[in-house]
Amino acid sequence: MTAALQVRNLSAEYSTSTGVVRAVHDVSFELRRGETLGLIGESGCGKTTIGQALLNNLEAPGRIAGGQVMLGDIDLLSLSGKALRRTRWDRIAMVPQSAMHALNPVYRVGDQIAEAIELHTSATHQAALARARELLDMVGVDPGRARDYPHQFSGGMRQRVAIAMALSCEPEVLICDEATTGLDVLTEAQVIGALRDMQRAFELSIIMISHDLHMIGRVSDRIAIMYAGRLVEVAPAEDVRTDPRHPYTQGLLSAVPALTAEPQHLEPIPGLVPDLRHLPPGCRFAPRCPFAIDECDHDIPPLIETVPGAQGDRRLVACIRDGDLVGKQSA
Amino acid sequence: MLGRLLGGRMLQYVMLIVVILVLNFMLPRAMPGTPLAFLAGEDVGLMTTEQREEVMAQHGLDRPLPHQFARYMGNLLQGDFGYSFQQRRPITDILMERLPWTLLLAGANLVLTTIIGVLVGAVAAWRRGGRADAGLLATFVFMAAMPSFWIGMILVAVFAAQLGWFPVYGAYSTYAGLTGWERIVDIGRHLVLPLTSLVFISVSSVFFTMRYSMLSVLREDYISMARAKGVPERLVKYRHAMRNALLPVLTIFMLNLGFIFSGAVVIETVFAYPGIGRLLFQAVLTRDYPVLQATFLLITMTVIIANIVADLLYPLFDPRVRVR
Ligand SMILES: Nc1ncnc2c1ncn2[C@@H]1O[C@H](COP(=O)(O)OP(=O)(O)OP(=O)(O)O)[C@@H](O)[C@H]1O
Ligand SMILES: [Mg+2]
Repeated sequence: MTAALQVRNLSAEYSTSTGVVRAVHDVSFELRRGETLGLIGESGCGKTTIGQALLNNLEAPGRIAGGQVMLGDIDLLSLSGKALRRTRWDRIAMVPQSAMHALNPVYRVGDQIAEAIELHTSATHQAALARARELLDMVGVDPGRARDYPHQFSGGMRQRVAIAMALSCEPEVLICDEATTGLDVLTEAQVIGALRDMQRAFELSIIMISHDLHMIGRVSDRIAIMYAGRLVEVAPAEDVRTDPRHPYTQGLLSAVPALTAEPQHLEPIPGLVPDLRHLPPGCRFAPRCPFAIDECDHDIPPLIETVPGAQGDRRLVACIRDGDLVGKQSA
Repeated sequence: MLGRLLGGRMLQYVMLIVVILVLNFMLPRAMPGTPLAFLAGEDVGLMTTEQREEVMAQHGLDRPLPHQFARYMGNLLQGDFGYSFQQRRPITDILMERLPWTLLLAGANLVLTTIIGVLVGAVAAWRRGGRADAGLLATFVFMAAMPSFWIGMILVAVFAAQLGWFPVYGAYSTYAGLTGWERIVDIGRHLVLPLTSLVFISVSSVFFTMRYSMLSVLREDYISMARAKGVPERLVKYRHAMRNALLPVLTIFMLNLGFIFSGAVVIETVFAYPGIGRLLFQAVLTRDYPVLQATFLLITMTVIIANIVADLLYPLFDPRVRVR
């Protein structure tokens, strides 16, 4: 099965007055056709930066520092100008973090969705508007409200409008950056339900970005865990839950209350996320890691294939102690 | 829908106007001395008692206050602003003579200032941090910092006195007897220097507002979203950014519109331009109170009318202030 999206050695950075912040460092992963890949990590670890970089839409002072984003045999990062504008949204689209602010306040939402359709197809404005109303209907917004302005919608509805807008050109890949953050559980369930329907209808491959482990665990087929700009583990969702390999993943799991379980002891990860300008030389998690040894501080551990878990699927982990710790840690 | 919003607002404006009219009526009567001194100024001392009584009666000043107020309102409604003893003419005539010149000067300034400020401000924001931006910023800070009489005097010294390209003062050549096209050119030539000075001192506020507003709009997520959607850069700037960035400029425009009669006092005085501003200045010098009073009323009313127009216009430009 070919990948819907193949990301190779992606790096992105921000130049600030206090130096260059490399928010995404040498990240590689694939998004399989039709799957939902969860991308999870603490605030500030670079999730949004990856999302924007995947669309080659990093705004200054951000810039892509290297790597490839292969959509089929096109490298999105090598495109610019008209070619980029044509491919983006047509094949890969996103629901941005704060979809609340992603709609232009002075134009009707229907027109804003139609604008994308008109730019990518030869549809007339009327036809595009009709399509926009269909899309709104599909994500559960009354199509009659296409004539309303963004401020007339609630947060959850704006989120859906943003989803409708992202789906307007029927892309193959959809990136949802915190698409449900800030919504109440019922609205969240509805929005996720709408996304699922869309996934079936359009054979979408989705990257779900969030820091909400519960939500990601429920909706994802596989999960990529990120720490301080790097991926530390990629595994099937079920394996992450039952058999986390990387010490950071384990820490994340024990820091989050399980909804169904008995009242339990929560163990926050000691220490703080490192400042991206002053990173430790070796493993970035080493200073907070209970299993760290001297060698951890020497080289950055590569993300490499490890023993498959119960799901039998390929899984990757970036920890030099992976071999020694198997069996000991999941107790 | 619009009506309901405006209904409440309009009532407020009507009340405000009533308050202003009452204050304007009370002003001369609250001042020390007789209202007669207010009306006739220093001439009062030279009048005989009979003359005084005659003038008092003529203006209804011997009647009770409510009666006086009714008469004052009636006159205003008929466009009668009273009489200037100094100039020995009805004030309405004086105002009507001055009004076109101020409208020409300040109106042209308003249009030019807005167009220049908006375009240059937007360009500066689009090139943020670049050389063009830095140069424009320095230029406009310099212009904003210059005293208005000073720039007026420099322009007069260089372009009128030294080079002789433009006339030094006035709005037209009085004794040339020009007609038709020649008269228009003559008026245009008289307009150049005062208009330039006025644009010089007032364009910065629009420039700074526009630049800042454009910068903050460009940081908004919907701009990044528009780019992601495939909107070409030119349309991102004009369709998505410009439209939003203009909203604060509309506020500045309406403020300036409100001060259209009072904004040019210094420049009109420096260039002896026969507008409302210069009339105001002269009236202060000669203590022509009735003219001052009428001019203040005109200025205040203009501010209120500009506010009303702004209330009517905003919903057309910003759907967020529309009422469902
Ligand atoms: N415009 C910017 N200028 C400078 N640094 C930035 C900028 N945007 C992001 N960063 C830095 O890049 C890093 C990654 O930011 P990013 O927004 O990708 O994090 P995130 O994982 O999406 O966080 P969150 O969960 O809070 O959304 C952070 O350390 C942040 O400080
Ligand atoms: Mg983010």
